[in-house]
Amino acid sequence: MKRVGKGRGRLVAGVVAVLALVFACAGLVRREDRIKFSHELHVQQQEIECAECHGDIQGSTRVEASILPREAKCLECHDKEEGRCDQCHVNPKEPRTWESTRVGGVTFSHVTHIEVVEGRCEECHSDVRAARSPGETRTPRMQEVCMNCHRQDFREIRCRACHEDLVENPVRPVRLFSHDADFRKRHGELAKGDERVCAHCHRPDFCADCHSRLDVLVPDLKFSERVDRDLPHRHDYLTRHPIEARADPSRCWTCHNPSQCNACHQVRKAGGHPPEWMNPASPAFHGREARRDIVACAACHDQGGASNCVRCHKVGGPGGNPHPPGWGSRLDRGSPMCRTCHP
Amino acid sequence: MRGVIAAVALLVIPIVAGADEASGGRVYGSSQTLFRWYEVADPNDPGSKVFQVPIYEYVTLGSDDVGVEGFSVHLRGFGRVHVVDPVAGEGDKFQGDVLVGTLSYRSPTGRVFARVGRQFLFAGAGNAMLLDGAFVQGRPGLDIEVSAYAGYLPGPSFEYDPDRWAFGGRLAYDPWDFGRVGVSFGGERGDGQWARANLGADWAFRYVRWLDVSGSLLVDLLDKGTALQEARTVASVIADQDWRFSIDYGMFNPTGRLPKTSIFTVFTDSRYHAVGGEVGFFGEGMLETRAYGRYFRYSGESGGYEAGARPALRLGPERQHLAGVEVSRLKGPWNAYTAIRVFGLYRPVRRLDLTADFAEYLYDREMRGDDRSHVVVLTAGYEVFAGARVQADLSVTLNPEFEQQWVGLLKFTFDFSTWARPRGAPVASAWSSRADGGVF
Repeated sequence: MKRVGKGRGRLVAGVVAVLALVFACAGLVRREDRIKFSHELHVQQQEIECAECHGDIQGSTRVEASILPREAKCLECHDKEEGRCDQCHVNPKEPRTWESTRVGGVTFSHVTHIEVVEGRCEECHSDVRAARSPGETRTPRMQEVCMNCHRQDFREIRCRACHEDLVENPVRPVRLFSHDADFRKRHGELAKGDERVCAHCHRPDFCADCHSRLDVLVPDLKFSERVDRDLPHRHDYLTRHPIEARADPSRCWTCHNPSQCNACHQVRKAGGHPPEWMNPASPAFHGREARRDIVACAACHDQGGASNCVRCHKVGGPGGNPHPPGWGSRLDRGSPMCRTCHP
Repeated sequence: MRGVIAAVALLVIPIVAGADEASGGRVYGSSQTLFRWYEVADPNDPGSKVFQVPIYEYVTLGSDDVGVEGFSVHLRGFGRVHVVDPVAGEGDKFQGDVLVGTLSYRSPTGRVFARVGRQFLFAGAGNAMLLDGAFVQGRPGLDIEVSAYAGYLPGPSFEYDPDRWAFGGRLAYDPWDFGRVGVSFGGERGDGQWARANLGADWAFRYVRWLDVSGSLLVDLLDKGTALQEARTVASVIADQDWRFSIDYGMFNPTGRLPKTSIFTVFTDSRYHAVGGEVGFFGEGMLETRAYGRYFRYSGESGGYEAGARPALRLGPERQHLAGVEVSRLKGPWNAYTAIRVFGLYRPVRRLDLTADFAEYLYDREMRGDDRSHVVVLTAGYEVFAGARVQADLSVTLNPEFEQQWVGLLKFTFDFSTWARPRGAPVASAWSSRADGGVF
């Protein structure tokens, strides 16, 4: 049987080679087509009015690709030379049409907004005059532009006033809902009281993808392509879970009950105790570990009153009284737990 | 109970199918099919390995505003069948159940919300629970929010136990603008006794936009000795456009997670504390990075800690490529490991994505005879057409016996929502939020 360490050097070299190959190819693969167009040249230098090219915008009530000027509009001033697609297209071999561009699911009426800003396009499109390529023109950003008027909608979380459907058309979370950095640490606390906020963008089963303690696949397997995400149970988690579970067991309890551990630790007899587990003089003595993380013990041994602990841990037994100092119970003295030792 | 859930699930299908797009209803659905094959040790011949080949199917189906405005149905279930499995017994060949299945109603003003069925529930300071039952929530006015729930708790294999049920409620002041504060009660009964009874408080404040504080406190009403079961709080500072800082504190009592019907509650009085912080930089440029550190203090023992950093570069004209490194270390009471991870995402064309993920783990104390291990995962995904994606994975990992194993995976994802989406409506891409620059 091949042990883990054998062939490691070749494997590491192979992975590095694959990574290097993948990124080296970046320069060889074609870039998607773009249109060569400078707003700076047309608007700033030529002083052409916005409506000259974007005339249809005056009657536009929704965001769609058709509000962008068509080729015919360009040809009103420019001559088209046959076979010279490179005049306008970055990739003339595979020119792309504007219609293939995807549009985010935003409800937006230029008709209404142009009226509010009294025709001053730059109120929202402030950087467009200096843009030298379409890539430099940005859709107005929510926190910089929309928030000037829609702050109350934002605070009251009326997302659907503008977003047709954030589930189907996800956007990068804005500052208040930033999912960057420590969000994984915070998201549980935020969800406890603000489930409705999460529901604007996430369907009911979104939580289940990671938190369903009954699912048969861990998130890392279901979303193996999301290397950018901080998914729980990453990689061969099973091999490291004894270290992680003992370091910070509260993370496990978020989803798992002790009884779930039975599946492996009891049925398959996985795990087991270190040597000197029963030696009180040893640092590996089970009493110390049990005091620190009794949940781990219960994962395998909790069989109610028949649990093997009480064989020793009873008054007069080698383990002595199991109750720590100051221990008290509100259980009825007639309960099965108490009657194990106090018939 | 499982039969009831299955019947409800079957009822959902015609309801969803009957939803009328023209009347404002919206139908969505998706399926995920995963073929896996992986090596495991042959129980009959420990010197050799055999392959297991399970197939997993996940189906999601739902509709908003179905029939009557405000009514929504949602169903997500899974099934697994072992096509080739020389290890598992006959009883393990098939498995499947409903993960989430709900019928919900939201009033037009949002003041009333109700949900019945199998659901994930966040009802205050306690952790999320999977409940077969009902949840109602109302906002009567003055920014007061009231919620209550009751139902059965499915067992580890989805089994139904009529003697194991839970109920609870929450009262909160939630003015949206400034955050919220709530108090909650959660009770659980098992075998005719109190298995759990908690009183909790949760809070989240964001009075100023650059500071976000949230946390919770949980008191065990059944335990006089160590009544404080859990306390967590996180303070996060949005320092400027690109920087985040946060500090967090948590105190945990392991016994609190055991039902009081467990005899193990008599064996411990320990608790532990965790104090940590994180810093993140997520600018508009290429670099994004995150670093964190946390110290664990165990009662009567020396402490442990975790620390790590993950810088990554977003490359390409649309920032569609990613290359990153992650270095982390975790020290627990009896062992520790250092992990070095290299990962990358490459999108040569819009529909194709390739990823590579390599991690090396170095253990302070040997784990089953080895002081290090490694994992390699390569994936290639292609969006065949809008909503349909195929992916192939190949990885070298470790099985629970700490033996190297080869793992393969084929994944097909199909989004039915494309059928119901109005003509010309946009289609979401898994990467649209980043690769397209996003609307925001």
